[in-house]
Amino acid sequence: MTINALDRVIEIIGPFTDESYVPGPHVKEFLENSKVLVIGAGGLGCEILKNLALSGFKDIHVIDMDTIDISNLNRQFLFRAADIGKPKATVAAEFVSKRVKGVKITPYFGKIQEKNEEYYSQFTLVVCGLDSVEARRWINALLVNMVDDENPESIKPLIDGGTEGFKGQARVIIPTISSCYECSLDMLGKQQTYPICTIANTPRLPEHCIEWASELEWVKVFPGKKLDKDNMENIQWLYEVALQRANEFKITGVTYSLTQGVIKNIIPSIASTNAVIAAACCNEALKIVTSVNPYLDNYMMYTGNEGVYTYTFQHQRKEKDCPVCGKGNGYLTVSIPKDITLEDFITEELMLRPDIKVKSPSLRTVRTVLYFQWPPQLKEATERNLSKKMIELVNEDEEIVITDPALPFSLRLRLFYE
Amino acid sequence: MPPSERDRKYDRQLRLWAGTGQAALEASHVALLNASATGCELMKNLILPGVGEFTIIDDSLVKPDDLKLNFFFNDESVGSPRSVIACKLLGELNQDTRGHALFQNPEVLINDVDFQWDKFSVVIITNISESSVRKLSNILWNKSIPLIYVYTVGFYGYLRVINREITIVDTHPESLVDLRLDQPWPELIDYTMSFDLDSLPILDYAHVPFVVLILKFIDQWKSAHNGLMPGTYEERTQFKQLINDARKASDLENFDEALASVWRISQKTTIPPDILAILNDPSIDNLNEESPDFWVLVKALKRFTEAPRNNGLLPLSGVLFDMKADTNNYIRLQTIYREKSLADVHFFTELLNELLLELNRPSSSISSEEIKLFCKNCRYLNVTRGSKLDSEFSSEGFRSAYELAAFSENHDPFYTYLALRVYSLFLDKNWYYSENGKQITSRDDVELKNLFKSIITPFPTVPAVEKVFSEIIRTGSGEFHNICSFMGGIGAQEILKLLTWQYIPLNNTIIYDGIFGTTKTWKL
Ligand SMILES: [Zn+2]
Repeated sequence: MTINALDRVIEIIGPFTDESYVPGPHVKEFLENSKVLVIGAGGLGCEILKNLALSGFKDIHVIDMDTIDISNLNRQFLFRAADIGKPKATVAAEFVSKRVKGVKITPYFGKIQEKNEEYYSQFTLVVCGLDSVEARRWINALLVNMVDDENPESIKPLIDGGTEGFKGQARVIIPTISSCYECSLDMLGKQQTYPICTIANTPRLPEHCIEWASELEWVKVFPGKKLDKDNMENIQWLYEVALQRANEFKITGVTYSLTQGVIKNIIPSIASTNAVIAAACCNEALKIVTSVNPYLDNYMMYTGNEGVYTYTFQHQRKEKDCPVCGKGNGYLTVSIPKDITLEDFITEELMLRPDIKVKSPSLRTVRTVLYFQWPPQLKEATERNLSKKMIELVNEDEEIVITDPALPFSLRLRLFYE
Repeated sequence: MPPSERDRKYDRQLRLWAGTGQAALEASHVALLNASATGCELMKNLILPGVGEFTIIDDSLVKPDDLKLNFFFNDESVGSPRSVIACKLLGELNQDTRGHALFQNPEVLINDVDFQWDKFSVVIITNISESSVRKLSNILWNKSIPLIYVYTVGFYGYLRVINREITIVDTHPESLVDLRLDQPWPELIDYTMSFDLDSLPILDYAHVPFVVLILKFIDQWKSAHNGLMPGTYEERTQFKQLINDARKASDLENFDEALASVWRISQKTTIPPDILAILNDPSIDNLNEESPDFWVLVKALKRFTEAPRNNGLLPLSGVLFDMKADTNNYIRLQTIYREKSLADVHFFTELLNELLLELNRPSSSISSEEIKLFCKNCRYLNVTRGSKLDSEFSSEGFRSAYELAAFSENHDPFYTYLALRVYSLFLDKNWYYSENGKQITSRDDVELKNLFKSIITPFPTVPAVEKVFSEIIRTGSGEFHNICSFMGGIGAQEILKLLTWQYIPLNNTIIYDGIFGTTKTWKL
């Protein structure tokens, strides 16, 4: 016998419900009338769509820019072999609307950046199941910017889930009120990179040989041709070149699978972890919209490789220093060696630090433009700064403003010369 | 060689449990008793990664209410057997998995003495009377088949693993690196001594692996300190000074790495306590022809550590992490570690073969891959022994659990555990899940509280437990899909560990509190 708890809890005050909670049929009406946006229709996204549909949400939208690949089928349970190549958002939406009657799912096959504030303002909340830091930063910044202090409805809660193998996290972000995604960027580790001199001169690991094939040899052998990371023939070529170099240096461990993993930065992913994290996220979505119980405040970390371990805590908002939700004249302080050049500063600090991590930054101070990627004339004019030392260009008391096409906000920082 | 279609499909999980884990998973057969939402969600997470076979046992028909909670029934299936529909819709998830539906009452099946449970690798039981679970758990315990008991009520989830014993070699620790800086062997010492730091040009000097640097400085330290290692914090600070004083330039990454690794030498290489406990486990005392490979390997491992030439040490893993070095020196160092590891494997194999001979087993009966894996991971072996449900579910067991809770904080999931135990007893006393759809109501509050009091007498009742009662009553024995799905995720994960014999399993109980977003686990 199946009994759905939702119909019961909306009628009764519970021992943990907020004092202001008023039970009654209007709670369900509000749930059914609210529009919710799901970002990502992958491993988490498929689960999220199913969970929301079976939680009583009736109007669900989903955005995803990807098409279905064979390697999705071990966890993205709304897709079949016959769907390979089709847009994820469309196939997922169709499947869930067909299975769960009375639920409308509207897919959008494209990038989140293609939609504007007006589009995002129609939703009650956003549930995010992405593997990209960049996309998360973008939507987080947008939702924070959308908040109008005069209008409480402009606050769109963002529920964010992420997984990696047996680990994951689920969190609730109430823009401008609780810690935002940008506030917690420093929790991510510094990205693993291999110095070019190691790759070129002193390779030790199979990864070094693979990077040599993709970063140096590819460009040499196929000048002007872009490496297609999804093309098996390209990966095969890289694998063979990497293997040959590895043999030359007596390095063991280069395999096709490793080559693909390094080139595509593959993160292991399984159905069970995605199920846990997506369920935790959607449970929060239900509680936020209905108030039938308090919602997560505000972060749950999950580790499943050694028994089961979760850590639930309140991540602190960087009220002053966060470049997105901070209110003060917040800026990041970066300490750098005295003799570092602008170019090294960009590639070794700005591109790698987890709390900055920009891909093609432009930099200026109040006094001068340090380096601009665009327009071409300005790029050309500022390129000669790249080889100059930072200490010649910027004083410690000056603020550097960094913009990047991937970020809808600018980052401000000050330097400290070691 | 580009991967096969199958390897491409399973790529994201093969990176976790590899071909061996996958093969074990594909050779398994999992049974689900009761096609509940939790049960079907759990099965989904096993069928997707490719479990070999599954059987769904259920005798009820799909009702319209089922569709609101369970994704694996559809409109057209109302009135059809739940086992058949769930089997079909779950089966669609993976063409490589074979599903069977058994239209039979799980409780009746548990009482059928002729039913063959042995074909199942794992059994899952959900939303069923406690007396049936207890009965089944005893049947399976005697057959050493793991049982997963899982259910949800309102915002709470409960899962219990009932498994006699599992022994795991491939536990996937964070790192397998074992440098042995405090106990270098002759080849490593010779290699270290082949460097004359003072005569090296600066470029070569900057590429001497830090392992060599540390060993050289340890040697220097020892000759000034009566052959003793830097032991105290103060001595290690002085030792760091020694390294720092020797560096010829400020920006030498290998010296930085050496300094950052000084803490390693303060940890003497020994056998970790968990492994020592395994080496002293009574399971190795009376081995015979039939004994599991694991315990045979453990006994050989014990003999290995007792052999005079090994100084009481375990086989070396042979794993080295990356460090600043030129290719030749790094590869040379790596080779020294690997060769030592191979020599250990070789000696281990000799001891193992002697043991196999004593046990009347052919020497090839444990493969060399198995031996290598065992030696590589021998610092991180895991033996998990479960407990029977009977002892936990007795009133004695309940009281000791209650005493545990006395130390818990306000919303500690342990109170939820206690409340769920009482709730479960209450259900058994009053009606069975499967018989009718009666919902728990506020009228039952008094009985729940009285039942709780009667079990914990003479202890006082706890407000935190009574709050959970009110929350359960509020949800009327009802379920939320999200909580079902969460527990289905945990359940599948734990079964994957048991089936692949990899990672470290949950032992043995978890409570999920979906109100506060917390979980807690205990061995009960
Ligand atoms: Zn912030």
